Amino acid sequence: MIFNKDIFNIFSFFFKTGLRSRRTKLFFFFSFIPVIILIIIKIYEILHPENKVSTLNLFSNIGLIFYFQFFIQLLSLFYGSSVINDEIENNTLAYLTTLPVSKSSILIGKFMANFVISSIIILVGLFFSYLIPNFSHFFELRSLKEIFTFCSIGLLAILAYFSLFTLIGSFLKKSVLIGIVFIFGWESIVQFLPGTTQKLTIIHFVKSLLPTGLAQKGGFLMFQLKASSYAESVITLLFLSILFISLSIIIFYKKEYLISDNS
Amino acid sequence: MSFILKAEKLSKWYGNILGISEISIEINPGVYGLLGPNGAGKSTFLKIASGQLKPNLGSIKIFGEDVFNNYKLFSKVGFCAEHDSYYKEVSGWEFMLFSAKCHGFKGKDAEQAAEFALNKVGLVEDKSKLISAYSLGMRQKLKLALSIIHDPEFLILDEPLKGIDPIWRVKIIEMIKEFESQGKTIIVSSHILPEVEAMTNNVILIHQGKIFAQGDIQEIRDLIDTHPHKISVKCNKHRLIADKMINYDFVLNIQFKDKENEIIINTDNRENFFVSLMKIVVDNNIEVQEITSPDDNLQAVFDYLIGR
Repeated sequence: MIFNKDIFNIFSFFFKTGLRSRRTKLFFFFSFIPVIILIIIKIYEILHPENKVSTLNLFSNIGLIFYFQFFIQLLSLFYGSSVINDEIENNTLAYLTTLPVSKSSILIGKFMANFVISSIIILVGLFFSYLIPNFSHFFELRSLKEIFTFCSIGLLAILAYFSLFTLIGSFLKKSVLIGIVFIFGWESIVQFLPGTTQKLTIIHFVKSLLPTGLAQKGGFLMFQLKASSYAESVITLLFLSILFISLSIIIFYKKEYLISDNS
Repeated sequence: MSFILKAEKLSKWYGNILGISEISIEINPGVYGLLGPNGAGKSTFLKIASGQLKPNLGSIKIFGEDVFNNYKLFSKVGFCAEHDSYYKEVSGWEFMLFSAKCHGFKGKDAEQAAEFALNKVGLVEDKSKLISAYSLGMRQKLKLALSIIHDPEFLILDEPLKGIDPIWRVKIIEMIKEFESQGKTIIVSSHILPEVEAMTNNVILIHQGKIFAQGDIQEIRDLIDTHPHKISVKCNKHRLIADKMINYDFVLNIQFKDKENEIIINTDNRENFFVSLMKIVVDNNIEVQEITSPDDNLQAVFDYLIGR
């Protein structure tokens, strides 16, 4: 009971501070880039009905690639690695570790706060980038089901990347640099290699969950994908998330963080 | 006997750099001034005492319990860190409420605890401002308020008066003395030695990672018998006193300050010096204006000990 109350206290404090931060405002702005592009295309489509573009193409080529191939990873990197790293860089860790609150509560509470903020940023952008091209039939059951699926996959993807970057941030100082190498190096290259090697990336399991219709329409996003089954993908992503979070808690519990000392 | 804090052969190093070495100390209720130059190991010791670092060797116990990863201990321990660090996006009040809730206060009780602590450090009027809009002194007061919000039995204060205006320095020193009178234990680290003197006579001198001396300032001063004591005497017949005093072998030298009718005598035997001085004063019917010992203050003791 006390454990839950502590997590809630930590969560609500960091959720509040996180929402007010400049980083959140900046990422909210970035998350609307595909929405703005889609609005421009939609206006063009209305003004020139002869050049009609497929709505699925619009969403999968702009929205999905932006969010699933780039933005989720980047957002997870900055918010996930900051769970511990921000406290060390800003010398604020002592405020938390000298409270009568366990380290696991601190980590879980702050992890949840950052995760919820990241999810809101992603899901709001994803929702609007789906809504604009599908405006005329958005409230049809098929559309609602589709946007629900995309949001669920988005949440799983954020959870997996977020946990990984929280883990990296809990023991490495240059976690953002390492994360960028991972996202734009490892994940970007290995996912396009043929065979089972692509299973060594998180993006492989995320893409495997995307609706099969996108395999034809999604172009670049689905290139070379040898999709794993839905069950395997969901289980793998959840397993990795739990593993990374557990390891982060262990490291945060055991490690002593050296903050600059001059006396 | 159970101590509030007990450290045994506590050692900590960062790679090849020594933090502290074999510090053994036992602390009972009262105020303790932790003194030492930059890099002496004060903050390392306080970080170990506040559970932020774990020692490489030795042990430290507070209220008989290990400190590192013992979060429950902090319901009885308050810590004011040295670093001027803060959360930019929250107000002082929000931060205090957060801290109060983490200490187990609920609803109105949390507000009362926060209000009480802010009032103690004179920050109530500015509580609604964002911390980023606070001055250095206000941020320091906020850190102090955070450390006392749960009315701890043991307070660890690392440079608590840094940046605080003179009026509030006096008030905070009074507050620390008040805590002492309530039977609490307080360790204060500071560079401003007269402030430590104003809080306590009980000092721990730390240098190059080791405890150099510990105890009452006067007792420590008396330990240093290899160093001469300076004693200043002001009177209208200061030259006569000098003339008589120079014959004693415990008087090492005498400096004259004729304009102030003052002589400064260096002696290596303080006790014999005062017996002889009193005899000269009485025998010659001298009216003494002032007798002081300029090197009995903490700065002088400290300088002697570290060999400046």
